[in-house]
Amino acid sequence: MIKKLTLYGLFVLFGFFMGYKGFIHYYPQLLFLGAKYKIGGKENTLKHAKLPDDTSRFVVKPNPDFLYSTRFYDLTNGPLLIEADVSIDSYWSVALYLPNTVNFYVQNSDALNDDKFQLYLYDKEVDACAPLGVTQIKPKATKGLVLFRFLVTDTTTAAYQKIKQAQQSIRVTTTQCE
Amino acid sequence: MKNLFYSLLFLFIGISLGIVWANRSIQAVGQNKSLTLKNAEWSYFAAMDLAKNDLQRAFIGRIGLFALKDSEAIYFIANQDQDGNPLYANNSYILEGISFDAAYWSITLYGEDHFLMPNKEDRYSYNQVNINYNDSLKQHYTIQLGGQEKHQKNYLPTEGEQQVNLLLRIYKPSKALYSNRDKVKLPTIKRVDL
Repeated sequence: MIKKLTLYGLFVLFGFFMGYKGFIHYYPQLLFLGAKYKIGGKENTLKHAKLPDDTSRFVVKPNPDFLYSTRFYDLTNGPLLIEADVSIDSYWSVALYLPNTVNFYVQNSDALNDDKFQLYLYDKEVDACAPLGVTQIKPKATKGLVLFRFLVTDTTTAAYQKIKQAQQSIRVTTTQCE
Repeated sequence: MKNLFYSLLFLFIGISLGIVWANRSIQAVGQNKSLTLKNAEWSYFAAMDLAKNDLQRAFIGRIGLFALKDSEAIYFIANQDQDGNPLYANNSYILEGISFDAAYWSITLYGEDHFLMPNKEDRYSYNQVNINYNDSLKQHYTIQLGGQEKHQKNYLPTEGEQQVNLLLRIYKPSKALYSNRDKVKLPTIKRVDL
């Protein structure tokens, strides 16, 4: 009887350890999938959001000053070329996230020499097909999220229309290496 | 067969208890002094080492999914006033602060679910451009949080009785600000009767 109880106790302890460690480790992945589902962001589909308000329930702590654009990507079908025409004076950034929600790359308005933004994401060890002069990133996972943020401090000015044009100019293309 | 059933049952009980305990641990990160530091009534993370720290990553995911690296943006959260009492939507507060040396900063009010709260003015935040400053040098500002009537130029109205929290975002902070998060002067939050 004591032997049996000890065994069951060990099962409880082992289960507790698995449940505790597993939940903490995989909880961010669940949040990532939840956000993907709420945004309606099927893989390789670009989504432009309006300025957040109290009806925005996709991702916690939305910033009401930001126009967000998202693209949940999957690199198994080929590398991605991300482009945008960002001839705007206000802050913008593009951030890349792993499925565990870690932000592993960010580039902002300061790092650009001209108005054309380009970024190349690839999955192979060596990618000979990357366009020349374009920043190349090899994420640790084939899936992830590209998140653009465009700062809007005044919605009544012409500058706001330019920012919206910059948002609409984002292009994310799956490229093929021939 | 009976032994297998009991083994799986106790394993399931263990996993369930582990998940409940993990959930409590994630929630407690906000009070964990080795992970969450304080500057007056505001909290911040010493280092956003989300790639290595599972617990911190889970907590940030819960209260601020898709946060940026701290080289790009730093965040301060306030869920209490200067006396240490929780912030409630049915109370009134006055925030007094100074501007920050950064590309962009803003103060946003959120409900207990971490989403923007509906209010009569559709006003959720103030930033360095749209805030009304008290001086011509654009340094000092005052924000009224809650209260039935508007008494300050900067007014964040609240509705209901829920607990609320404030998020101060500072994008591309100056080096001095970035390395002095424990000393930088953050807005005071004082409960008042309005």
